[in-house]
Amino acid sequence: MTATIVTPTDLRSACEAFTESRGKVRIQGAGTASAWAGAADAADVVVDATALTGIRTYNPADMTVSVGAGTPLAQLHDEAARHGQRIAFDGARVRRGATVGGLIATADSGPLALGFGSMRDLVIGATVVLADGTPARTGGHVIKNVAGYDLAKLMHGSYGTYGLLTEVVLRLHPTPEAQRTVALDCTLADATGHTRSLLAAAQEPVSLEWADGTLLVRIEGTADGTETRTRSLATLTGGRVLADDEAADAWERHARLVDDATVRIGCRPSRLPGVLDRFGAPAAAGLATGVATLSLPADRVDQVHDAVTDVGGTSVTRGAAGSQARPWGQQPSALRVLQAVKRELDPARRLDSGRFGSWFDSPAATSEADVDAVPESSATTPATGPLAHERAMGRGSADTALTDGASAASPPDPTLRTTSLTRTPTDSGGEGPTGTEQEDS
Amino acid sequence: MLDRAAHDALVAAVGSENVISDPVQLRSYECDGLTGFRQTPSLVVLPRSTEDVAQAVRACHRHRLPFVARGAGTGLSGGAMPVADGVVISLQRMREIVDIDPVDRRAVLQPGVTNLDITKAAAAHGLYYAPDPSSQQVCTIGGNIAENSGGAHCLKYGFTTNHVLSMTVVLPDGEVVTLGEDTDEQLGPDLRGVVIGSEGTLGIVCEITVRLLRVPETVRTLLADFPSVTAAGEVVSDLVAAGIIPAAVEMMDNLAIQAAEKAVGAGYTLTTPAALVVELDGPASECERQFDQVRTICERHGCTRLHIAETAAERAKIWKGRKAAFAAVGRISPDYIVQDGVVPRTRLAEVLSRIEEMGRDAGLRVANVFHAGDGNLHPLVLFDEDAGEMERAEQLSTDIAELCVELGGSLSGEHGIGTDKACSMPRMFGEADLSTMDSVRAAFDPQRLCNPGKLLPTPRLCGEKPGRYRPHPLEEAGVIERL
Repeated sequence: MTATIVTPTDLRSACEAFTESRGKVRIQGAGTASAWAGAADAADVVVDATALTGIRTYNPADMTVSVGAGTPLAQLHDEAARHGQRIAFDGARVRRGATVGGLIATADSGPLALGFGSMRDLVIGATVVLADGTPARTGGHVIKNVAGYDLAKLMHGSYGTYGLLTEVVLRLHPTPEAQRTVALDCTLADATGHTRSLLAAAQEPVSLEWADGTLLVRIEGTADGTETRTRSLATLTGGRVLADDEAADAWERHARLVDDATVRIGCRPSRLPGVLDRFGAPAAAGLATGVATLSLPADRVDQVHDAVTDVGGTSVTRGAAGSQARPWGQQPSALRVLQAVKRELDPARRLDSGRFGSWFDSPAATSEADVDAVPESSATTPATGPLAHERAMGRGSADTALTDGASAASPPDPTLRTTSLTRTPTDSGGEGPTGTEQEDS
Repeated sequence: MLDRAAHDALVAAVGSENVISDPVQLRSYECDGLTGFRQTPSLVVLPRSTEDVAQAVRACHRHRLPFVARGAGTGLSGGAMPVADGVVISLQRMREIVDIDPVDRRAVLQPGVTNLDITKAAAAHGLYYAPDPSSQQVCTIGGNIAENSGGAHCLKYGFTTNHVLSMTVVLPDGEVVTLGEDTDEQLGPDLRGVVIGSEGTLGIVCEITVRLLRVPETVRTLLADFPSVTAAGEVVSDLVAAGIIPAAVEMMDNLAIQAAEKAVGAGYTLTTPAALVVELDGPASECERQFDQVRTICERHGCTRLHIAETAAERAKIWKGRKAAFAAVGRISPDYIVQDGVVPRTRLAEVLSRIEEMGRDAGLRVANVFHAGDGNLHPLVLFDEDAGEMERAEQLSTDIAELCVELGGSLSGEHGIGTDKACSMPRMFGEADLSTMDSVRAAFDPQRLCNPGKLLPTPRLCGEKPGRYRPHPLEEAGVIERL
């Protein structure tokens, strides 16, 4: 099947990509993670997000920036660097052109995650276009904000299943005056021991990775402070402070290991060495974070899934695994909620959910709560009925506005608010197609 | 009143010794920290375990009873205010610190554990829990999750959402699930991040695993007086420009200083127009040099007195004044409202002069205490209810929150929307934004039983007539588009 490719350039055309098309939609960024987490569904329409680019607002004094979600993060790094700032994120595929939206949708992270977290910790606002063309904003332009649900988190790791990120607001950090890396060639067991003593010391590394036989520890801060801390780190471990070009090479080697991986795993840091030991595969392992990528033949990935599941961890395939392996190890505990969110945000199931294997295909196991529910809570009462209203009114208005050029920029009908938000517990007797949803769960 | 069957089901769920139905006792649950909104619940249940919570929620679900989870009741937005004819599920009897793991640096907690107790329990291992809301001695981790609480140190260390790894959640139909994992690698979309900050509307959080951090090697704290709030604000801008991320930067204006000093005698200068508390922490080699830079920047902006805490006791005293500031305002005014809004840091001076103007127009005093580093304001509107000033004060307070939105900020930085600001949400979000949030709520709670009437505006709460559409200020500025 040949898919139609649509390349929106702004919010309006992004909405139109959905309202003026039919069938299954796959969202695509720079394509740097197109084979992660299994195979995408066949699509009628491919929405190419790479033209949703550019910095929208950047006030360095506020240390926040809003960008088109299709902007390559590397480009944003360059712009921020001019102001002595950075997005504190260094996932391996950033250097291959990964977009901001793609990095969020795939929940990627890099070695700096130890110090700064992943994209979820840096995103403070977003605009998302839902499968019916509804544009929705969440968060804002300030770091601190508890107004409304944080839907940017919902998009983190959603692999294009819940909507298209069109704009993202990120927080920035100052570029550190100095960065130094200490390297030590050692076994995984030794690296594990060093990790414990390093974390107990006061050096506060921002990255700590065992890259297939070498422990790499990165320190950042003021020039003097970084020197002092790296020297003491080197003494503590018997490692060597790398020159700048050596450090760049060492981290490039780390990034290549990540690029070539077949599976990404996460578990309690103390359990990680045991899992890695079992496979002896080339690995880039965050011994302090518990997150690692492994390169091993695709036909062994399922064994990794099982081993990680046994220790309560998470696992997902990366590009080189192909489609031989199961995309994910265990299923999330709250799969039923993920499915319910999918039904709410994409009831027609237009957006590709192939990346999650069969998660969205069949209803999750019936919960105990449903089992013991008295009859009136079963499918005979369409408790979710008012949602049908919502779709008819709230979402429908977005459709209309977009297909009618003249009204596209006009304010939403104020009466809609009354309708779509009228939901008191006693007011749950509406009719609608969502009545069937109850049967699914 | 609950019908007999519902009452019996709840008693069966948690045991009669864990149920409050006496009308007098029920009154103590009628409000949270926002005492202007009151509603006596029909029943309060005090579960002792996750299973108790699940049973209670299942009973509510089966009998279509709305329920509200409640921690310490310190919330300032009416988020834990009971619902008429509904049940309060108090987590106060679930206060166990289940585990402190010094190797993987995490703690497992029941929701009723207080914020400060986490740090106390971790201290033996040289670890601590970073988010530190002002009410940390009494507020609970469950409540912190509901509000995504920050505190004075969140500029550097982030908010609750950045420190919670996973949590057991009782969904609104009583199903028990785990959201989050042992690391930040999630299985698909990050539902943990959606529930944190959702103000108790998506479920009840029952067992929480949080990250612990190593106690910083050094902490350096100073208190600096300035001839104006503007000068103090410039110091904050210069700190940022110099690439310094302080652990905390707190600003207080003269009224707030007077109140705090009267209450706790923290050593603040009573006559100074503004003061900053700046704290740096981290490795000693980093801290010392940056601390020198901070002093230089303070001096450059006409600092009139600079007091450096030399001992832990002096540091504690400086913080005591700051953390007591809200309550202390009671010493200079019979009544007051604590507001919570956020503006981009660069708009601080502007928002303060606008607030002063608005206060003057309303004939009311406004004291300002705020987290200057992240632009989170806490204006305290002072009034006298006996003098009939309450309505004016409430209006002024709402206007201030909405002003924050107008300046590109947010209605709330840490207190939440709750009951208090739900009707202001349309100032910040458009119809599609709110309806999308509502869809997410429906996915978790199709029956609308879990803390209904909070966070999102409803006609019942806000009046049948929605206001005239007004373009969002960011829309007018061309920053965002609305279709």
